[in-house]
Amino acid sequence: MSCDQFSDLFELYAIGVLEKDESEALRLHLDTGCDECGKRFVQALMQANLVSETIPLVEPPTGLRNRIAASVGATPVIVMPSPKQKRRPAIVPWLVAAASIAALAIGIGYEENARRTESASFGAALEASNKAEAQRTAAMLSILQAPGTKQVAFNISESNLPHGSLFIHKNLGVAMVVAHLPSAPAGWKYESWIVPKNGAPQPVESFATDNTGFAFTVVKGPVDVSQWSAVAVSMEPLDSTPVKPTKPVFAAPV
Amino acid sequence: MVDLYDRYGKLIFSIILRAVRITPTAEDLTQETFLRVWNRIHTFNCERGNLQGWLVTVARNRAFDYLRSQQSSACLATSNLDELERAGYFYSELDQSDRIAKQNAVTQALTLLPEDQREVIHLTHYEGMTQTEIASKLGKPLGTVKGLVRGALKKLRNAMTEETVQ
Repeated sequence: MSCDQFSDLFELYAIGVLEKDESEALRLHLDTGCDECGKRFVQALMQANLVSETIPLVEPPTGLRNRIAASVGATPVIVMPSPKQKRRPAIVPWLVAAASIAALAIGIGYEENARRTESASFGAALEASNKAEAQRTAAMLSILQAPGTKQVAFNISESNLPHGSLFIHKNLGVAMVVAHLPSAPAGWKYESWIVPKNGAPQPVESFATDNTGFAFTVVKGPVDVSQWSAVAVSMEPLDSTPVKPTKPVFAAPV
Repeated sequence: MVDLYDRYGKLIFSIILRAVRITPTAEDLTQETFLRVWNRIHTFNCERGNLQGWLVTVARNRAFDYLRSQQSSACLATSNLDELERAGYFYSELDQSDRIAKQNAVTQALTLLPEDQREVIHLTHYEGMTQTEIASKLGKPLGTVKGLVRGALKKLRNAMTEETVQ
């Protein structure tokens, strides 16, 4: 079939409802790398999506949001406020356990007033922590979608190793998105670092993987990556405030 | 992930529910859609990609795939779903105002379609039916259905093109 013969088929192909023989013929043609038909296909896909988006919106059931959050291991993060805590880690599942112990202590050891005060603090900490995590995710998605963001893939051919991309936007910051990162062993956490061309690595934030091995870390704000050589990840003792990388895991060159 | 859901959850759930018409199934497929995108977000190409487009493509394919599995339809090409989903993030729109302008143009073009053309677009785009299946459902000759689909798609294509020209 020639390009002209496909002209009415792109939209149906784009939504996967073309008859099998026509679909196969068009797929084989696109596989030849025909530039013009490739553009027509992308245009058709955009059109199909715009049609899909015209449907009347329906409010999803209220429980769906929590169900989706839970499916990636995004257990509500509980961080008990502490005057000694200078820097709060991002996703910190280990704090859930600590907070649970604290909550238990509250339940069995304190007077009613104290318990109310602690419960209020606990709730406020939970809310603040969830809000912080939402802001962190929003920052990552903003960088991914912003015009002008540059992407640098790392270890992309190493599917069994941590691999992913750095998304660099000079005003919004840098997001490192990584897959296939195993959960940190008990007693350890992941820490991200900016590795400058000159000088010592600078810690960014602690983070954890979800239960699919996915993780991300964000350097917010204007950045000048010409002064960086890499963004790196290390493992650090759980209760430490990192000063220099303890167990380097990988580095993504900028 | 939750942020992604907060941005696009309503749209994605609506697209899927429109196709499958069963709320618990739509919930399952919505969850599957977000997980699928979330687990592959490290492959997202920010220079060519569009998150909403990617999600919509995945959602529609999940829904249509479900419908096919229920119908055991052998005549449909299901093997290229992954390919289509990858393509879903291979387009990027110029900016938000451009996207909104195109959306308005398509919405208007849809409302201006004759009833029979609008019906076949709904059946293909919202319910994942092939032209053969539509012909069977509506009791019309396949050639007639193909003519209706071709005419409707041409009008939608023209609406998009005119908007791009403007």
